[in-house]
Amino acid sequence: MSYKKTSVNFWLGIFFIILSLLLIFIIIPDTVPNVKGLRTQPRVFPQIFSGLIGILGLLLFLNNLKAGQKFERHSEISGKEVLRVLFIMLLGIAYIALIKHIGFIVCTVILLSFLTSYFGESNFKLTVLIAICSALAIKGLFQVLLKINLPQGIFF
Amino acid sequence: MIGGILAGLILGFIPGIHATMAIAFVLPITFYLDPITSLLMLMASYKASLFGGSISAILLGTPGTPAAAMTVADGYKLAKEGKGIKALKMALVASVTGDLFSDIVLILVAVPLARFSLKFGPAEITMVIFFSLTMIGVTSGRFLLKGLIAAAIGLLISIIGLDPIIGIPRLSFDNPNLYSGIDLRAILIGLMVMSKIFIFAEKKLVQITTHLPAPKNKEDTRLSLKELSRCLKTLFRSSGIGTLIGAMPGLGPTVAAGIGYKVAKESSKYRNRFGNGELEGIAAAEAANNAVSGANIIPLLVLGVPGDVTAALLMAAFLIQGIQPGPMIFREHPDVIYGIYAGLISANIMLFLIAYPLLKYFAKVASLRVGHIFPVIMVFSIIGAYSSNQNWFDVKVMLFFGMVGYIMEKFKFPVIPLIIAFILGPKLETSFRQYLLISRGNFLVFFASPITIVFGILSILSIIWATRIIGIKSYSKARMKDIKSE
Repeated sequence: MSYKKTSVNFWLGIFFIILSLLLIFIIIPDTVPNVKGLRTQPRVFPQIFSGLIGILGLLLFLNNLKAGQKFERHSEISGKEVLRVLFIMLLGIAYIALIKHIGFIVCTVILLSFLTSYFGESNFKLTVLIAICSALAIKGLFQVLLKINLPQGIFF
Repeated sequence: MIGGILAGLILGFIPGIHATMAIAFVLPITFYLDPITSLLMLMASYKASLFGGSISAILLGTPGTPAAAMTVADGYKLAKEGKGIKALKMALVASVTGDLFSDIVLILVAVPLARFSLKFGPAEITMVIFFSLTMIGVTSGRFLLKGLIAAAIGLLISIIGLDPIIGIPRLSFDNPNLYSGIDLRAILIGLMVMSKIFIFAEKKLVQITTHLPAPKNKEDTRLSLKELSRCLKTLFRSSGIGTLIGAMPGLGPTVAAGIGYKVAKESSKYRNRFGNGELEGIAAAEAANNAVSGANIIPLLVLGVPGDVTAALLMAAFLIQGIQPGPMIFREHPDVIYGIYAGLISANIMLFLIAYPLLKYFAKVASLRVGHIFPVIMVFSIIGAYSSNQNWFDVKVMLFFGMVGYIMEKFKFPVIPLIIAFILGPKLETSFRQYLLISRGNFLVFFASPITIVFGILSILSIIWATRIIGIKSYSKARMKDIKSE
C-alpha cells in the first residue's frame, strides 16, 4: 500500500480531532459546570457530540490514507476570490456599524449602489435608481407592513 | 400567499438560489403573521420556487434549483427549437399535478399515522430522530463522512444556551446573547442565503444570457390535449414516486426528480427522445420534484421530526409561532391543521393562475442581470436577521454563519445535515434525557421497545447502505485508475 500525498482532507481530519480534544478536555469543562446529585450531567451531551466530531475526524483522516480514495477534487481556492469574499464581509460589518448612526435609507442606498457597481453594472443612474427603490421597498415592507422599526440614525 | 408565490417564482428563477433558500429568505417576513398565513406563505414560496427553478432550466439552460436539473436536457432543447412556452406549460401542469397529488395524500394519511405515533414515548422519539439524522447523513452522497461531521457540528451548536432540564448556561462563554442559544433565523439565513452571496461575490457573476429563437407557429406555444393525455400516466406515476420519496426523511426533490425521470424513460415508448426535447421527460421530472412538497410535511406533522431541510424550516416557523409540531397538533390546533390543508390546495391553484399568464413574459427574458439582485438579497438578509429580535448580535451571527457556509461549500461539506441536526439536536437531547429519567439511567434506548428496535435497525442499515455505495464507487474508481496506469 502506498501513501498518497497529503490532501486537504488529511488536515481537516487532524483539525477535527484536535477540535474534539479541545472541546472535551478544556472548553466544555470550562464553560459547563457539573451539578451535584444529577445522574446525567449537563456536560454529557456536549462531550458526546464533541467525541462524535473527533471520531468522524479520525475516520476522515484514516480514509485519506487508504490507496485509491483520492477521487475527490476540491474547489480551487484562489487568493483573489477569497479577498473578494472578505471584502463583501467587511462591507456588511461596516453597514451594520454605520446604519445605527447614519440611518437605514442612506446607508442602504450607498451599499446597494456600491455593491452593484462592484459586481460590474456600468449604468450608474440605473444602479442608483434601483438602489433607492429597493431601499424604500424594504423599508416599506418591514416598517409599514410588518411594523418593525428600522434604525433611523441622523438621516432617515 | 400571492406574495409567497411571486417571491418563490422570482427567487427560484435565479440560478444558484435553491428552493430552500427561497424559504429561508421569506422566513423573516412570516414572523409577524398569524400561524396559518405564515406557514402557507412559506409553503407557497417553496412550491413556486420549485417551479421557478424549472423556468430557468428551460429558458436559460441553467437549473434555478438542483431539483430542476433533470428538466434542463429536454426543456432547454425545446426552448432552442422555439417551443419554450410549450415546455413551460408542461412544466407548470406537471408541477401543479404533483403538488396536488401529494397534498391529497398528506390530508388522507396524516391523521391515521398521527394516531399511531401517539404510542411514541421519549425512547421512540429518540430513535426516530437518530434515524432521521443517519438518513440525512446518507444523502450527503459521496461526502458521507463530511455530511456526518456537519451533522455532529450542528448537534454541538444546538446545545449552546441553557440546559433544557436544569437551566444552567452551556457553551455561552458568559455572553447573555447566547443564553437562549443561537438564533435559528440567523443561522438559517447565514448558511442558506449569505453563503450563496459570498459564492457569487467570489465569481463576480453579473449576467446569465441565452439566445432563443421565436416560436415558428402557434402550435409551438400551445400544449395540446393530445400531448397532455400522452403524458398522463407519467404524470401520475411520477407524482406517486415524488410523494413516496418526500415522505421519507432526508431524500428531497432532487432525488425524486432523478428517479421519476429515470423510471419514465425506461417505461416510455419514446425513450429514445428523452434528453432531446421530449415533453414526457419534463412531465416526469417536474411532477416528481413537486410531489415532494406536500409529502415531506407528513413526518413533521405526524412525528414532529422534519425529514429534510424544507420541513426543518417549516418546523422553525411552527416553533416561532408557538406551535409544537407532532401528533398532538391535531388535537390542540385543529384550526391550524385544516387551515394548512385548505391553504395547500389553494396554493396550487393560485400558482397555476398566477404563473400561467406570466409564462410568455418569462419566455422573453433573454438575460438575467444578477448583479442587481444579489446586493438586494444581502440587505434583505441583514434586515431579516435583525428584525427577529431587533438585536444586532443576530446579524453578526448571520454573517459568521454565512462565512461558515462559504467555507463548508469550498471544502465540500454539505450544509443541510448541519441545519437539520441543529433543529433536531434539542429535541434529541430532551427526549433521550427524559428516557434516562424514566428508565433510571439505562442507556440502552435501542432495546426499549419494538418500535425503537425497528428504527435502530433502520439506522444501522442506512449507514451500511451508504458506506457500501461509497465503497463500491471508490473501489471502481480506484480500479479504473489501476487499469489505466497498467
